[in-house]
Amino acid sequence: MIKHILTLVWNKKRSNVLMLLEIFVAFLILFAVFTFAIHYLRIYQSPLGFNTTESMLVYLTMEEDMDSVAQLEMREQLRREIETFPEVEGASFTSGIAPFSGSMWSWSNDDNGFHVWTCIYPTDENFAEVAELNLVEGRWFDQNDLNGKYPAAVVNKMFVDEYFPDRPIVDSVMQIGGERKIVGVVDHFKYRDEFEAELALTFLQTPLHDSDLRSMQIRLRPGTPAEFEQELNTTIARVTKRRDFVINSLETQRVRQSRSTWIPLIAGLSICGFLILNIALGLFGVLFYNINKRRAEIGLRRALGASQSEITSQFTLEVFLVAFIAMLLAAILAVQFPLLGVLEIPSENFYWSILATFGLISVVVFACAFMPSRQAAGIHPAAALHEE
Amino acid sequence: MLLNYLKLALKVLGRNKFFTAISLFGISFTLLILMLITAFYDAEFGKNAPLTEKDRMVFLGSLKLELANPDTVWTIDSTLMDGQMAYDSTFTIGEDVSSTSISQFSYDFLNKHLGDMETSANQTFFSGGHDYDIFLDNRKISIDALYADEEYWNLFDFEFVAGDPFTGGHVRDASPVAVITTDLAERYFGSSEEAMGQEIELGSRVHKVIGLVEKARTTAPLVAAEAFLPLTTIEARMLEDTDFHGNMAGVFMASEKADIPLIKEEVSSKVSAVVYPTPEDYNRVSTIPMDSAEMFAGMILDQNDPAKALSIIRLVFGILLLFFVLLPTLNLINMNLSRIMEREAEIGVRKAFGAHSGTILYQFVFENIIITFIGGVIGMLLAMLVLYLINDSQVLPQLTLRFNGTVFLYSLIICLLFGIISGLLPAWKVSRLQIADVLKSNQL
Repeated sequence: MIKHILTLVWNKKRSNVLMLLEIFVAFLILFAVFTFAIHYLRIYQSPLGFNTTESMLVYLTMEEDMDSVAQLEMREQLRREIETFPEVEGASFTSGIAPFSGSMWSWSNDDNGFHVWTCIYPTDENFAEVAELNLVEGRWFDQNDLNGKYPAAVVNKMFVDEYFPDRPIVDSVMQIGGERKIVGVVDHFKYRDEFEAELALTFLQTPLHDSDLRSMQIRLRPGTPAEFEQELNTTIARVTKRRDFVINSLETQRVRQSRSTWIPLIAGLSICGFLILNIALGLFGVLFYNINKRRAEIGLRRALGASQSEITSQFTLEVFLVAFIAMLLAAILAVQFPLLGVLEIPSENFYWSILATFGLISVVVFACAFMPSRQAAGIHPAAALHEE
Repeated sequence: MLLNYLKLALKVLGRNKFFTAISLFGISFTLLILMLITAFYDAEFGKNAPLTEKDRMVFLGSLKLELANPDTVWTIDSTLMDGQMAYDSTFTIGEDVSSTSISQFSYDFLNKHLGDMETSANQTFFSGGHDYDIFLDNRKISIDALYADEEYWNLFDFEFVAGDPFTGGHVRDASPVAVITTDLAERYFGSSEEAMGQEIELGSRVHKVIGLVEKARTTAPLVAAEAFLPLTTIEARMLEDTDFHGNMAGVFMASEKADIPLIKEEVSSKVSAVVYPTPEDYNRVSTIPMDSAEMFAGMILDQNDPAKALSIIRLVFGILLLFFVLLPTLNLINMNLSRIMEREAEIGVRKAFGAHSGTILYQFVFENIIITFIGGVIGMLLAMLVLYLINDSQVLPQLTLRFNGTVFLYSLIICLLFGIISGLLPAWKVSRLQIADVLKSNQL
């Protein structure tokens, strides 16, 4: 059967070559878009690890010539005054490396005897509560850790999986920009972008006199009205004696940051949708015309006893075979991407993408070929033979 | 003659409505998307005010400070020779960069080392990205302010709706004046007419509005601010700080485009000649000056080398665009082939009465161009609608997409090319038909 159809396809190779080319190109475009879509959506699925709702992020500015005692006093006063508001559940200082800020600080070395690469996130003892982090092992650092022999740090699960798998990490002392005692492990912390894969990360406990702590994350009680921001604004202005600080809602920042990926993703997918529709309509039109031109052949076959479904499956299979050859050629080209590893995308995403593209085009081609075939096979043999 | 072709084309279109609808759908949506891409490209990267002269500009990126030490790497190969282990060691002297710091320039650095350029005609130093939150009648207004010197206005040709830019006098005296966008004026004062001469509170200072400009339509941070203030009204420490890093950017203007490589060269060599005051912290100072295309490429792609980012973007977008146009074209060719074959009989008769192959070729290409133009008009109307919807819905709040002359011209060219390419192959094929064959096998 297949061999017979192959002969039929080969006999009409000149009219089939355009369709072959069309499906080849369509496969490559869909493959490219699907790969990125699958890559980003899979990352998007992994949890952020912290709560962005009812949270405010304040980028502070401080006089640079303050000594550490003055800085400590100002931060303590600021935190105390903000936490006395009934609308506030908690406040924590972080550095300029804040969620969705675009900033990143990484540290790598082989001081531990093996290579360690980790993002650094300086913050204070309130952060776990304010950001609602989920600790899977150990505890978050507290006030007492500041007086300990080693400064405390908390790492994420990614860090453990990458550098310390299958061993207890809590209470071990590691070299991370100086000796640090790991006191706990959080499950996830994907702070830069919902669409950016989580990296190994270390929270460093940072004392309040450190001038790095330039921003503040504040958790509000649910249902706090938007006007509260103004009260917050006046308080911060009074304590820091400056006006050029910025208050952002963390949720808004998250939406804005994600939008820069959502927009091209949705645009790409809708363009693909349009292309598919365009191809489907064109294919349908062409096949409709071509199959109807073969009425004589159909009439003859029907007269010789072929059933309707035999004819339908022959025509559908003919078209599908051309499409299959085109997809196979395109897939051979597409599979080079994961094999050669030119892009920094996990290779399973490429394979999923090839599979998805293959499935989608097959469905479209099948639908476009089946309907005209079915219709043409329905004609009465006598009528078809009479016409010729 | 052309009128006849036109009549014929319209007649043919009406005859097979299903095919016509599919063709028009394909053509109009392809052109719609191409027009949207051109509109977006034009808004973001086009030569629009205030960046009309961007092709003559050199942009300063970031200042890179590095501590580089020579690093010797030993490689020891062991082999088994005559049953004995033999060792062969080689070493290479490489470089180990143990500390890197990348940030924008300080005013002091720019002034001291790049203030006196020989190859550039004009230059401006400015500091953008200063955000201020203001509460007015329980409304929060966020303002993105930019501090600049007076030359800023000579390089970037903002469209002034009212008033004037601040002058050298204002900058020298640190006068608290401001040029704001009409958009901000509407948010802050309620209407842009009332804004002139009023006072606006930014940070700890109150500035008097002396000029109103249209908001830049691009997202490039060097012009996309809402309030422009004299550089000297910035906090004093930002001007006095002798650290190399700060938050200043700089743009140099060449007197002609050919000078751009010279300016880049001068900037690079002047910066790398600078010695960091404490060489044990950093012993190498460098920067990569960029032309406008490289700067925009750097905005999209986070690459250390803007020239590389530009070539990657060109390659990726080129391939994607090519494939994207190729697909509907193939589809259209495929459909046109089927359609034209339906009219074999007509062609046979025309040829029998003495029409040349060339004439028939022209006729069919012309017909195809007509269809493409009808599709183009539909696409253009759709594009205007979609652009309106995009602007209205504020999906891209910093960008204003416009359907302007450039986009229109590009669309026309795209239409014409699309029509010719998709019509040529079927027309060529049909014009070569043998008269006798056609007349024999077809009924009229």
